[in-house]
Amino acid sequence: MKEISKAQLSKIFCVNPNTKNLIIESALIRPLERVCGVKWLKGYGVDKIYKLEGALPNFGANAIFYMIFSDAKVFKQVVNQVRSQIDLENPPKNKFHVIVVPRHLTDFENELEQLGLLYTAITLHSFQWMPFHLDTGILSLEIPSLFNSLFVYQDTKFVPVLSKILWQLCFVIGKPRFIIGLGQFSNALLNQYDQLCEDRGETDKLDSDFGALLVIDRNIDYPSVLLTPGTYTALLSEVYSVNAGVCENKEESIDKLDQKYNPLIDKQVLTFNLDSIQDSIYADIKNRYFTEVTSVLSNLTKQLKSEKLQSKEMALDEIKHYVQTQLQATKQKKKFITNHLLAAESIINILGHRFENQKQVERNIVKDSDKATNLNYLDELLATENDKHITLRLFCLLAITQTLTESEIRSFWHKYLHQFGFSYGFAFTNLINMGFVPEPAQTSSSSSLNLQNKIKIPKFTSSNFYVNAKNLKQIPSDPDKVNVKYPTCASYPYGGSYIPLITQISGMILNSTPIDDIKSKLETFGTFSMRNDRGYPLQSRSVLIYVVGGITYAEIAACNLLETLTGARIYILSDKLVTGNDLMKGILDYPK
Amino acid sequence: MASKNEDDFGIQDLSQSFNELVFSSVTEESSVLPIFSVLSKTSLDLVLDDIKSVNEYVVPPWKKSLKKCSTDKNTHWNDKLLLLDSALETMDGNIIISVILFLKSTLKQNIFFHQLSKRKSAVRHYANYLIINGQFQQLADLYMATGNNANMKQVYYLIGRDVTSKDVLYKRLEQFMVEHMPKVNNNEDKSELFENMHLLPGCALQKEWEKNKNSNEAIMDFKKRLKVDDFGFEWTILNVMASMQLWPQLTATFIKPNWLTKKNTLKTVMNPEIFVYGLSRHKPPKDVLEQYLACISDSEKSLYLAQKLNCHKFVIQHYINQRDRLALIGYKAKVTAPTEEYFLIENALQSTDKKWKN
Repeated sequence: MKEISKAQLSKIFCVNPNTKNLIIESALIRPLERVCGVKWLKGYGVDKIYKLEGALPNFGANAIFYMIFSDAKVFKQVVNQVRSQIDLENPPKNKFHVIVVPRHLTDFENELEQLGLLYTAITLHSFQWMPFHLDTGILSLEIPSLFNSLFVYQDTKFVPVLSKILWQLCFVIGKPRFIIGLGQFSNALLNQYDQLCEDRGETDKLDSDFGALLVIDRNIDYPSVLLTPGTYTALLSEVYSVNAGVCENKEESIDKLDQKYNPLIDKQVLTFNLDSIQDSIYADIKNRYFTEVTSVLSNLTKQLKSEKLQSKEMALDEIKHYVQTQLQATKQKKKFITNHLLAAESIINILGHRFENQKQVERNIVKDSDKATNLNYLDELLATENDKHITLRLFCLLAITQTLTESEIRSFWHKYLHQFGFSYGFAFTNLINMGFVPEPAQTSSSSSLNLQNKIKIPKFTSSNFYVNAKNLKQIPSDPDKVNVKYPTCASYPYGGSYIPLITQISGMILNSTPIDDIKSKLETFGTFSMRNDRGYPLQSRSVLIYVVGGITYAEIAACNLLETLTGARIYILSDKLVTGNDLMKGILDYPK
Repeated sequence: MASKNEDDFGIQDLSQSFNELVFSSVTEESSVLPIFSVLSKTSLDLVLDDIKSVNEYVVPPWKKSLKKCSTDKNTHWNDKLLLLDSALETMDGNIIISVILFLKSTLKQNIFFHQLSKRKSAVRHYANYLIINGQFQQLADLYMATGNNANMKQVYYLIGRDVTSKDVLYKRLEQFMVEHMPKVNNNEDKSELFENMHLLPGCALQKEWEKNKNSNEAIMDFKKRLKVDDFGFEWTILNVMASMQLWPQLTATFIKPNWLTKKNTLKTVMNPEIFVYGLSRHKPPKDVLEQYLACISDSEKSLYLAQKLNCHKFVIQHYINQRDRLALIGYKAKVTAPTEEYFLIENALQSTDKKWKN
């Protein structure tokens, strides 16, 4: 699939066959690394590569290719840079190109048209790479703001990108015979996919690699994202920023105290790839519950130490043999272990003190008990952690499960704004739009317009969550009994409290639950559609899950467990790997 | 010229290191199947053609009809509505925005808003477009015309979002309030907005504190006016004082001496354990910490915390009070000699006037 992406990119570059310079937005670097390397780019005439910065040096005759994400502000910056370089009356042809990932928007075109630059000086290209194979069974598109635009603002500009990816993917894997779509945007995606098949042609592969395809919206199952996970990779992504499968933290923070004089805890500096093929240790610990990880790592360190001692006592021949065969591997292993140990230490430092309490509160929430304690904890968290994402996250979880009264919501929001500043006041409307907070009752004089606003059906009510969860048996009756060391229940990533929805649905499909059963259970979640082309019961025991809006490592861990329990294969495709904090960032920081 | 060269060199330097270090592509030699084994030639052609079509600006059908509408002198009213509805059906944000912008340019504003208001998704898309482009005045008009009065609050906040200078912020918000206040009907919303106006000097409690360390009244007044939450307030005070190491002031503020039972209590809304935890993060001296540990009423919890925080004296004292000799002996192992705590244990163990339980 990398080859396909490269082929697509090469077509764009071939538009101008001369030597070019490439200017890239820094956030794009990591994903682009996964598509192609420098040598390949040089093969297509790319001379130098620069990061997108404020000033633009003069490049002379070389063509210039910009590569940016679909962000209006960045685009304006690029356009300003170009304008400073050229003469409007006599623009150079075929010199400036802007590659927009994933897709250039009409506003960009309008902007260029208004400035007189469209078609003359600047050429716009769209480019979306094929999904990256980040790790076994994980495919990710690495589109940064999809959740924000789609779910926070209900702006469907990126849905065609997703449907096109699906269409292109089906050329590679064949079209699965059994397809379920759950959620408003997933169904739109499937419709667009059908349209594409009609207009542009379908795959000629007879049999698909996958028995079933499940397309689901993120907003169908928010608790999976909002609950605090317990597996190693998931915690890693909570503490560090994991981008395109690379976990990195470049500099040490120098502030000792934050704004409210809370002492800041340092994160260890590290960079490593989350790749279970290269990093055998990672492959072992990635889905383990965190309490096990530290013991595994300490065992491995002891092993290494004993190996070291052994090697000191070896005879000369043995040493030669050892250096030839094992030294490299041991060195690498040591590096991996060091990285993981540092990461684990940071996780403990940052999350350790509140992990137990948080787990308990979340357990209560999922079980629908002790609402007052939970609310108290929320208030404490607000002051003690001084982290706007974590607090908002817990609030959203409470809002969709145990539902809060209007006064509770109001008092929380009041405190929240006090703590973090009134500049976040607009986020309240975002919360209403997403369905976390019910719309306040309109008190103005009635008009037909107001009635229309009232008719909008709230997406989540508490009865819905608990009823649905019980229906699909997502909440184990006794969380303490769930064994996290040798897990047998897919709720272990959350400490036994909750089974992610996609795992349950996959389980149902793989166990050949009757179709009507599936239909009746899933219809209550949202817009539901099913296509069955003699594909059920599944012919090949493999499922592709396409989550619109982001997937978490905890859900992947749960699905991996299901794989081992049922002997099936589950692949997960999504636009990005997220954590609950990323979703909250979307509510608070978007649009930039 | 020279400066420009320098500039070039600077960036070139960056790019060279950039090329070498950052662009470490993930193993090239890993399984890259020859492309044709994975999909047939025709399929590949289809996929690549897709890109070509974008480059050659082949207009898809919707765009064709849009162009037709825009070039025709007068488009039929029904056609326009049909266009809008079919655009909304496609669920493609790009198309929707193009159609909306087209309609805006060819219709009078109130009619435009009226039609939009009937289609909620269209309002959303257009509002989002306006927000991204920073056109807040139009956003306010949109919301007013379509009856979304609650969203006025949103506009209010959005206006102030990027502004860092307080004066400019105040002016902008005031202007907005004057224009749109009558529309904000919910009383709660109103009070929130007014509060914000007063609060503009900022929520920086600690800054106030630093300025006038001893003037409690100013702080208290501030707190009361804005109805700041107690917990948050006390937590901030704790943090500020602890980070400035004002231990005596901390004691004065939080410990309420109780002369009767000689056991002091903490006068705070916080749970004592949380208080101690918060304090311990600033690494205070042990005896300060022990003062507060003594205020925790549950002795088991305080013992546990003391052990976690290595407050040995506290633990030793506790065991002495409980007359638990075995525990003392056990604890001796944890305490390094010769320190004060060690001698404390030794003295206690050797003193003859204590009646031990065990």
